[in-house]
Amino acid sequence: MTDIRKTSAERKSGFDTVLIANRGEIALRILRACKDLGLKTIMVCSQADRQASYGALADTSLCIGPASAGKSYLNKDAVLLAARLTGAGAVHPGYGFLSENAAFSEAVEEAGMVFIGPTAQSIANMGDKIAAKSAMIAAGVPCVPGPDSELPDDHASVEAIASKVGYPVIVKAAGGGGGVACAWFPTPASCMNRSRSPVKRLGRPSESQRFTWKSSSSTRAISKSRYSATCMETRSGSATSDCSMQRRHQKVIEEAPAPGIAPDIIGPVAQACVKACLQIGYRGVGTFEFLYEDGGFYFIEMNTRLQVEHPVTEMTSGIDIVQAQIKAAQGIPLDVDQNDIKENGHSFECRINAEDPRRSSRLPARLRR
Amino acid sequence: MTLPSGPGIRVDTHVHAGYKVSPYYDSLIGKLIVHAPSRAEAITVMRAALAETEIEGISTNLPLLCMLFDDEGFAAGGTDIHYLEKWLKQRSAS
Repeated sequence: MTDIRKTSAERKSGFDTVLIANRGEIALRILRACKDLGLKTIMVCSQADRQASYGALADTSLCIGPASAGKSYLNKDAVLLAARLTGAGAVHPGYGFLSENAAFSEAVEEAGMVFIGPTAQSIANMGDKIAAKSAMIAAGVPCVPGPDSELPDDHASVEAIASKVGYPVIVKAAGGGGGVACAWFPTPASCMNRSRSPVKRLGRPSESQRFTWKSSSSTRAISKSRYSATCMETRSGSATSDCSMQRRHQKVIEEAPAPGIAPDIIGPVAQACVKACLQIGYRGVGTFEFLYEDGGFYFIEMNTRLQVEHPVTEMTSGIDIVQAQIKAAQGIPLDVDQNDIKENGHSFECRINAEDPRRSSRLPARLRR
Repeated sequence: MTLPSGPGIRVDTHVHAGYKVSPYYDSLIGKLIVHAPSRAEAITVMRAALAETEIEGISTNLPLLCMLFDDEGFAAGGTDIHYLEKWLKQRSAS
């Protein structure tokens, strides 16, 4: 039997049908991008989303399991089966769910379809925050102070490292994304015997018994700034935004460009991000997240997927990031390079959340004036 | 439900009147995006867009978003990642 596994260079790139393995606003956003590119769409949904009207906009829609995400949107086998049954040529994972699941990326490509996202290797490397930091140091991307290796088990050694880095410090689970699996310790006393808390919070002790450190000051202004860098072959691009307005480490408002950060400071960091993408063989859309303090950027992590807040970058750069991502997966070269990207004007995004969906009722059927 | 529209305003959402918000997933029901020549103008556009937005039948964070866009510290720019949580604490204390 021939090996159907394809490397990124020789993988099948031509496709005319995209299966959208997500729900909600991002599923609709991807559907629109596919339609604009003349591609056919397949929408998969759970039983809870069966009545959602956006499903009817797709060429085909398919219910793949019960409401529980683990049995539907996170069920790799169900999504793959739906893709095979409907003859999809590519799978777009959106954000969340299976978007940063290396095994899923690999399974899609082993089945002879295109995963609209990076290779399994890239996802795995960037998902391990320690491996990611080593790769960024190698590419010359400025990183947060602290060791680029896992912490020892005994508390005395942990304390010694924290003191060397300088308080306040942040401890983060190596396998954790975003701000969920990190803890901030302003003083040695606050850190005492609690440095494992981020791993516990992640709830996956078997795969996350490692953590990495970073330090930041709470007294000086720190804004979390990010680069959205799309990269493939030798062309790539990046633009900035700021997502400092956070609640429980989750973003509420995002804006682009990041206020108060001069473009001449950003330039070299943007070039370093592009270089890093090329060095790690990254393909498609990805985001570098940094802490910014007193003129310095410190790499925290790379998100190997489309961001929730991609629209702010689209508004200021004039680039349709979702379309660019799909075209990259089709093997169509990006028509801009880093020097062509000009940020124009200012953009904000507000995330509108239902505050307590468990108590919510249906939205009124009629609009009220 | 009334969603804002006009120059420089974009709404990315899948919800509509009659849509049932599911308790099974992320609570994001939509994203309100604005674009203007400057930061100050973008704040003005966002304030107007938020004021135009009406969502009934469920509780949302719209009041919080409106208050943040009226906050002087936020309007001045350069707020840090602890700003919002401190701001919320102060409000609940007063």
